[in-house]
Amino acid sequence: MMRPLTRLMRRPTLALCAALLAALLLAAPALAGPALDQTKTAVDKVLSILRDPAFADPGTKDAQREKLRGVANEFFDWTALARRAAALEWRTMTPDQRREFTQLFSRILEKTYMDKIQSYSGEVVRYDKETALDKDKADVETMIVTSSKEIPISYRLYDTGGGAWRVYDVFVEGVSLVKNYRTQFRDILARDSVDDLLAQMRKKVAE
Amino acid sequence: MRPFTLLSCCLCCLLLAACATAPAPRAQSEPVLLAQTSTQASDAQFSDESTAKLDALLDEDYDQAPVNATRIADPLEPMNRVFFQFNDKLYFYLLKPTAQVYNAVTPELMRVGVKNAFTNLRYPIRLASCLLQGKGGDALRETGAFLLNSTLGMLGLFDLAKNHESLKTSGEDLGQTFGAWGAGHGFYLVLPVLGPTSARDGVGAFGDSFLDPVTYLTPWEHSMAVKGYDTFNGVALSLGDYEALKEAAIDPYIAVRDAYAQHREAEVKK
Repeated sequence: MMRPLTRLMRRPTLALCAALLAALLLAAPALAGPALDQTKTAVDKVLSILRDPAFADPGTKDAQREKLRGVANEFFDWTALARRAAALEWRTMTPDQRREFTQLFSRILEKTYMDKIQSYSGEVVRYDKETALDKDKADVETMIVTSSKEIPISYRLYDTGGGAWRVYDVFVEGVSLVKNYRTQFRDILARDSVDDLLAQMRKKVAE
Repeated sequence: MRPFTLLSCCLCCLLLAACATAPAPRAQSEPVLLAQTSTQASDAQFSDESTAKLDALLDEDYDQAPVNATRIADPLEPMNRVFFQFNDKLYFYLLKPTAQVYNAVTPELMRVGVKNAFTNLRYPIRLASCLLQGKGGDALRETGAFLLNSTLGMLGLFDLAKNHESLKTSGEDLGQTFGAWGAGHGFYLVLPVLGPTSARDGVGAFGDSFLDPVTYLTPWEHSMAVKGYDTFNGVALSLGDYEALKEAAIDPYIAVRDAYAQHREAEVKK
């Protein structure tokens, strides 16, 4: 049993090659990484807020929403999401219009999903893997496991500097949120002005 | 109905929730609840300089053609929009109320079981498409999953294969096969009752029906009824997805069309 090993030891280059080969074979696509870690942190924070008994009472829904908003603001880069959804049209907007567009965009998403999120009932989030897209961009694959189905969700994060990774796109079952809105905005802005679009968005938020 | 499940990202997008003020990008860790910023800071991040920096960081070049390319042609848009409205009303006035009653009187386990059983039955469709695309490994995995689910999974009622990494596949169909062979969507179609599809996927679905065992039930009314039940059961299991998508969209018709196109492209790539 010892002989093959001692033979290997006598040939350092062979040992080195064997070690490298072993390392390559054993290396999985990153099961951990800064983006995945921060995704986990954010989702875990949200889950703990959802499970917090202090918010069990329906009267505390608004307080719970405030806390959830706080986590979301840190995790999602709303400016990046809105800017990417507006694409070329962003350039035609004034900074004031851009600010309002970003706010309305995030409000519309919040309106739709807050209720669903707050009606959380024990679903499990599975973190599958992180794939580096670039030195400062990564794709994090997760899966929501419910009692009747599994929903694959991928987050695209970028390094905003100093190791803080924030989301600039979300993919649900292969559909990019940013691209989906981009198509809608492009269609609308082909007919209407930016102010018309903002009015439509304001109306939607007020619904 | 698949495109409707996409924005059931509701759950995952647990984080979706922002409020009026978007904070300036922070490089250091800060207290979680610090969400308010001064108007000064928010103006700065919407300036042209900040935008240029962001674009550089994300390697985005919006002048490139692909960004603005139409994902799926829609020459029949006026007619499609009419059918879209029709389907919308059909969903809210007929399908959804009926499905809610159905959900109330059936246990979820049963509904999931029905879905699993029908999915299992469509094994020949998936197998054929795997083989046509030359995906031998996937063909073997599909067969393994079919055998496991049909035996231990009680004729497909239980999807045991999904918990086994070695039996995981992406469900193939003829439309995806055509896509893998190079066919594009063709054009977008909204069919009354049946919902969104494309020229390519419509032909694919027609072809697949020959490999669907349920098609061969006689008389044809029984076959239609069984297929109808399968679809209805699927709708019942994903109640809420379409509503979420509609609520989140500025233009629901475009949102569904784009989601359909993106979803199918992602499926073809798998």
